[in-house]
Amino acid sequence: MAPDESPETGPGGKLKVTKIVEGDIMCLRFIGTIDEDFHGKSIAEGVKGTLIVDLAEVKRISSFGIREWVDFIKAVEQNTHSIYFIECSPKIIDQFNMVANFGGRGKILSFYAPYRCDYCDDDRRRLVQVDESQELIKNMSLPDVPCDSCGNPEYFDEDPTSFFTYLASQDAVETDPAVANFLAAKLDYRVSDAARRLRADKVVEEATFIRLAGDIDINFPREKLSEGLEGEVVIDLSAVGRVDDEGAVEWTAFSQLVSRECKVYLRDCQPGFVEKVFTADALAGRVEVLSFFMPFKCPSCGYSGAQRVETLEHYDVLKFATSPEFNCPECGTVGPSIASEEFLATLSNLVPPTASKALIEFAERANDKLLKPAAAAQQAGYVLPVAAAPATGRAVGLATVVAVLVSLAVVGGVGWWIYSRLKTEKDIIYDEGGRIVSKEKKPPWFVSWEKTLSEKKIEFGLADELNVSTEGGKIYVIGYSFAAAEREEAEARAREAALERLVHHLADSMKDRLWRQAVLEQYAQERRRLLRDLAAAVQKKDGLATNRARKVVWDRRIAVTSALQAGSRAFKKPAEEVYFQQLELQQGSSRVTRYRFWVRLAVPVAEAAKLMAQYVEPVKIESQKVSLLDFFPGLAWVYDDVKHGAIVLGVEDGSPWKDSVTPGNLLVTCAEIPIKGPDKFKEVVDERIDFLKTKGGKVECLSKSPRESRQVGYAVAKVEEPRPRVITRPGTPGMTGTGPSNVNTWDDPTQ
Amino acid sequence: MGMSRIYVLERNKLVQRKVLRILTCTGAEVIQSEDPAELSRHLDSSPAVLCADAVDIATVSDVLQSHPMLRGLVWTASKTDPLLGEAEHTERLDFLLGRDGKDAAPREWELLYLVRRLLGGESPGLGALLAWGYTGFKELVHNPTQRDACVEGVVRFCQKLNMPGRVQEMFAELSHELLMNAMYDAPVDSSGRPKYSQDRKAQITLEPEEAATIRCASDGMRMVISVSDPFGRLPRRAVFGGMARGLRGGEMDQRNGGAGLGMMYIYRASAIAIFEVMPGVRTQVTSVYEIDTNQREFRNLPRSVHFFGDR
Repeated sequence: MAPDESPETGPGGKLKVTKIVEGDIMCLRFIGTIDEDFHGKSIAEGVKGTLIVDLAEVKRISSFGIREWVDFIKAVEQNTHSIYFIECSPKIIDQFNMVANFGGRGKILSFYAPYRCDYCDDDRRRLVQVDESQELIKNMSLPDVPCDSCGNPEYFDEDPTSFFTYLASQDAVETDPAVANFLAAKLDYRVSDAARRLRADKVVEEATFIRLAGDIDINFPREKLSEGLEGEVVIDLSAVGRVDDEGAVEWTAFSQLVSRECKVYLRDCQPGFVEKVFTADALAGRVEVLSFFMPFKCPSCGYSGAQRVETLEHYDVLKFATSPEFNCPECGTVGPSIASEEFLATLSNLVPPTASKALIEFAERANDKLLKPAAAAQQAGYVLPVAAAPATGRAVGLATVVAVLVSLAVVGGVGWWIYSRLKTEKDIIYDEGGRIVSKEKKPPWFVSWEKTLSEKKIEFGLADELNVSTEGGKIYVIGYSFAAAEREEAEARAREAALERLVHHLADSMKDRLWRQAVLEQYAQERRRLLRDLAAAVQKKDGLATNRARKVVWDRRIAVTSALQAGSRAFKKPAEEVYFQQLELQQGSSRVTRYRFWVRLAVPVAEAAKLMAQYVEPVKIESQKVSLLDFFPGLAWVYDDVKHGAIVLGVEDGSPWKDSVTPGNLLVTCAEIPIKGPDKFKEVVDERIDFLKTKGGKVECLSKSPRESRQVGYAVAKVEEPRPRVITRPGTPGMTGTGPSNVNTWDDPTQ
Repeated sequence: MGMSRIYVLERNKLVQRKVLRILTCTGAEVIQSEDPAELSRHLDSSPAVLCADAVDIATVSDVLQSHPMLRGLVWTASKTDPLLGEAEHTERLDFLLGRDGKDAAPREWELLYLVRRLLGGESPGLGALLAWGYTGFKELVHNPTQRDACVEGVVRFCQKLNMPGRVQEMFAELSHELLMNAMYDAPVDSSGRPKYSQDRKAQITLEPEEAATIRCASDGMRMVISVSDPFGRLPRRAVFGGMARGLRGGEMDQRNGGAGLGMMYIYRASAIAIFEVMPGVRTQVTSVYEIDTNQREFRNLPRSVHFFGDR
């Protein structure tokens, strides 16, 4: 073996194939070059069940490599019931278009579209989810997007007709929920919300068997699910994907609720579930764990997958928070789990299960009963719709109810939490969920805020209505960040969000109609629109649009706070409290850290009034017959490049500005001199008029409104200096000079 | 008797004028016509070149069949793909020229290069395809290790020219493909039996006299990759037929030389692909790429494919 070869690398070292296995599902990730060194048939050996092929990192493929690939696909088709291709590189899409049967009966779930920015002379690729982009694919058109570096449009750098030939002919793809869960939970791939929605199937016979599939999050329907449960209940969790913090809380509440009436047994808990839910609270009372999975990677052959652990069989080891030894299913090498210390620590909360043999057998039967229809459907070449509940025997489908509940919850709100799980392109920082690893205790204000957010189901973007409260003579505002790679950045964003919210709250509290028209109404609508855009992008799960919208909102908040700090004489940094979460999440093969911050500001009402006084008291410029206001920071929502100016509040009759400005206009410069407030306007304009009186001209100011930017002003006539006028009297033609016959007289305007 | 006459069948006067001017510079007698019937009156049995727009492909095919001393050259502003099938089935239709648009003449240097050679000129080497002062490298390749090193050399060369990553990878694939053909398909033993084509995974070492040669050069505007072998065994049908098969979806057809995927690679990666075969002496495959073309334009660019050889 060459020194640089990993166990998964082909003989030439040009192709690396890694394998991740979970039950019936296997993912093969190809990295490098597919050429004559690719041994398709040998890699196909041992592939069965559902195969996911990750082709993001295939750089080259030779014509001989294609032959080997076609052999590989032919071989795996014989032993698999489904094949999915994910993150296909443009190179691979070329092959789908060019080579008959390149993908066999496999389906492409996602692909990278090549984009180019001519300005930066840079090529990029953007991930497209097939199920979410059916229209674009059928229309064979991908829109231009702003370049991440320069903001100019970057375009889809392929001939769409050629590129989409295969994709457009592919039937609509619906991902099997188990596959979606695998993608989300094991590979950290983005899958559609529909595929991740929790579904529950139930079999009620001598005991109750519930099979859950999907993600457990804040929408977990604990009350609905617990309704009518009695006796012994076995809950199968083998198809549960991600469990987030809120889901874990919901689950704990559910298990406490259910265990009052029933004895609950959990089986086949996924590693993510174990980590989040195996707490003393959640396993208290009458909840026992029959079996669960532990992450395993073979130190010898590189096989990666979860290993099933029977609690009773291994209890003597587990109670000491240690891992049992496992045999690698590929090569037989014995080794322990690669579970983290935190994971192992949770195992000490387990108790030896007391389930009878008859109950365990019942659970097996019930599980088979629920799984058979799905398997049959897959064999026949189609996938069960996510929300369709199989009704066999006494199997009672809760799926529809749950799907409706969940979709209502999703449509109704909690967008922030949806947003927090969004992930499209690996290089872009999103709030990708992940595991909270920080030990910060949630402060009461945060707990209360979180609870209200959940209860009121407030949409992201509009959630800021919730972020303000007044209590005990203080205004409290909460701002939060999205997940950011740098802790400082997250904290700064949260602080800016809080300050911006404070600014808007103060503006919105103003009762003066004229002020509201001239200031608040100038930007409030735009602010609302941008936040709504962000909320809509999040709900549509359009990662690119979300990223763009989020950036706009971010930029505007920064502008608002910067204007506040730059322009306000009365601005004093408010007292603040901070809460943060450090998250760890898997991106591809690497773990990354992200930070989310919440900042709560407390501003005494008196201080706020002082702050607002600067902005609300108009300055009347008598000489110009106009009333002006200081630039209000909230206006940065519509003027992101302006931090100062004078806002026109009123123009009196007879004002020279009557025809050129209207209330709400923002006067930014006069003769290119910045106008930093009404006083400065007066000073600059007066000076300008004095100057123009000597030669004539126009007083001009740059006036902005949210829709336009223009020069406004009025003409100032030259004021003639009083000069001597020579009057030549008739009868004395030709006479010059100032002699006795000529009289020098001064102009007298009264004559 | 050498060629000294060129027939031009072109109905577009704009194109016709320019083409006539270029062809006159070859020193040959140029006979132009806008009407196929009129063209027929001029034709005789002496060796000549027939140049025409692809719109008259049927006439060109007929005339080439009835005049065995004629060589055909066709230009097109549309996709070249359909012409590959025509070339496969029409003897001596060896030159397909892509051009910019319906009112554009073919590239003057390309037209001149082809016709000069048909009139009896020797192969002028890579320099004729590039501006004077170009730079490049040449390597002899004997084994897969050297092949892979050369492929990476091509990538580094592209990187120096600051070419986009996708184009770099395209050239890496192209050079790999060309070298694989020269190393595994071309070599035969003294009795003419293929030496290495049975197993393309084998770690072979070519004899010094069997070595493949790769040349890679650029003048900053065009990139040229050329691979040659000292066997001269590439049949004409493998070129046009292979490409046509490749375009039909890579159907496996072992009788006629595989699926055509290799030829398809060459076709898709080249603005101009030139195949030169001197039986028993040399096969040289040259790919020309215009660097400033973006991938979206390149996909729809009418390609040029030329075959110099006796078979």
